[in-house]
Amino acid sequence: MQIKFDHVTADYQLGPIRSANIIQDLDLLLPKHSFTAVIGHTGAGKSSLLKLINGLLLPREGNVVVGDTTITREGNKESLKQVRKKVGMVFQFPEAQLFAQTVEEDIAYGPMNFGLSKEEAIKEAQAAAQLVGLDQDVLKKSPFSLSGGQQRRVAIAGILASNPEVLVLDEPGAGLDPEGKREIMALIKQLHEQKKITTLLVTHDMDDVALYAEDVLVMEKGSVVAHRKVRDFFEQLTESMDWAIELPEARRFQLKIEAKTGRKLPIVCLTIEELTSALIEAELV
Amino acid sequence: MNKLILGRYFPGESWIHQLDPRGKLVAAIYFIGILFFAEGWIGYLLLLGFTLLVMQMSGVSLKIYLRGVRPLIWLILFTVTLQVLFTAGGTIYFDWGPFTVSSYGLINGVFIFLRFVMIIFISTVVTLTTKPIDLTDAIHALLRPLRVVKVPVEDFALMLSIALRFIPNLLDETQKVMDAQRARGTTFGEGTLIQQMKTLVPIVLPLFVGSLKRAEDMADVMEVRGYQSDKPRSSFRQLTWTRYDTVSIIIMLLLTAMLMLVNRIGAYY
Ligand SMILES: Nc1ncnc2c1ncn2[C@@H]1O[C@H](COP(=O)(O)OP(=O)(O)OP(=O)(O)O)[C@@H](O)[C@H]1O
Ligand SMILES: [Mg+2]
Repeated sequence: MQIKFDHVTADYQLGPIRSANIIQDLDLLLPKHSFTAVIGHTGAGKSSLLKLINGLLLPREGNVVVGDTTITREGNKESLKQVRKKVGMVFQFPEAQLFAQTVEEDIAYGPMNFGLSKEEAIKEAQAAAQLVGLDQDVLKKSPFSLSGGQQRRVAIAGILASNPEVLVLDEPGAGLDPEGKREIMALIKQLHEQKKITTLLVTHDMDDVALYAEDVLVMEKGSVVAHRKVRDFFEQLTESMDWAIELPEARRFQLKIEAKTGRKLPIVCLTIEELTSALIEAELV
Repeated sequence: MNKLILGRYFPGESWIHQLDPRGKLVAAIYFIGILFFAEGWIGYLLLLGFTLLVMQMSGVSLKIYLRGVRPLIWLILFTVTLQVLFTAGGTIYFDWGPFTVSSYGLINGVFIFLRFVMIIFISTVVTLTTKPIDLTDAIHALLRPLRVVKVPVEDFALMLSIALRFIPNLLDETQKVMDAQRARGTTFGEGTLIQQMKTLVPIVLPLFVGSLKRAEDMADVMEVRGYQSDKPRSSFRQLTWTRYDTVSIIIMLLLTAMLMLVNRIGAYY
């Protein structure tokens, strides 16, 4: 599903007192089935961008078009509900949204809100639980009795259960152990590939960008300052661009090797696999 | 999210910053008290002038103070509207059933508005210019006499400081959980009363769980660091009463005298 921002300006207005613009005249087109990583400094407006996509934050000027639904400043109730059904949103530390008595009920909460009957919703919940790799016997337990990593899975299942066509995620791996994080990221990648879910991922980890995303979006002070293919982006990234972006681990290692040996590898390597084969090809190992 | 200004501290060097927290607290409470004795325009203008002067002296920009009013703006406007609609007397501009918009109502509305805003401003001055920990010390010191009647003043002060510390967190969290549930299709303020109450469960429950978890963590940390509530405690920070504090109390008394005076003059109009 395509997402389009058309001259969007937004702020966190409360009552009659205005605050500064958090998103500033933003134009953006995310094509169908794309996988985009959003990066940028803290406070750049990444989370706000995600909230605009499912109408938790409404544009003050301009509009956001998700598929064939348009979100405007008025925030028509029907279209908001439609958008939220289509766009699954995984917040930072999503386990904070768990509330029900059993894991199953919690996962079924979303689908029921979007109009499924209890039986259908439970069926969706079971499927989603399986998808994120939760055991069957966990379903009847209280979500609060689970470990942090399991809670995270339950929360993500609660969003996948509504079968969203767009998935937006705010640092889904934050606070997990490396293994748990890898599994979650692999799941997201797999969903993107199998179900053709349009994915938008906020992350601070450049290795995530290199490993999982196709496009990268750099935000600064509420604007998009770059939107490119991941490979082009890292190839062109130079010191002069002051985005305080670290290169992926493999690329940093490559630069070190090149400095040490004085030889330049023919390609820019973003993953360990690429680097290994490039090194073998260049007969450096 | 940093909407909530009440309970946040802005470091600074101003005169107001350096006052003894005990004096500052007493003065602020006292000021809020005399607000209710103001009558007529001149009295309100006098107090407003004083409030603005104090805010100016604190060296914190007006914008920050306005942000302190923000979360309460609807409540204030609601109260003011009620006041305007239900006060009769004077010239009547508009009349519809039990509602009237009259000159008395309008004037009263403005007064109520000013009173609200001044209460918020003055409390904000105190919290912005005093470290929460100093504020707790001050409350502790002021309550100390109650120890004679076996009130656990220490525990009370500690509870207060912890509660103050966590109010902004709790508000942030409420916003987050509400957003998360809205993203899962909850619509607030729709349907029958029962349905609306049901939508509260997914908000309140996670907040409870979060708070309990945090309280537990906190208790553990305090225990690990050897906190015991029944031991006599000494203070690391000493509060010192200076000449300036005495001066500020005298200023408050002068302000009271002036207010009485202008009230009297107003009465002769
Ligand atoms: N609920 C809110 N009310 C008022 N201001 C807010 C709110 N949420 C965010 N802001 C402000 O909006 C700006 C952008 O915040 P946002 O959360 O979008 O940044 P971010 O890029 O996601 O940062 P991070 O990397 O730290 O998550 C910040 O200056 C923040 O103070
Ligand atoms: Mg964020």
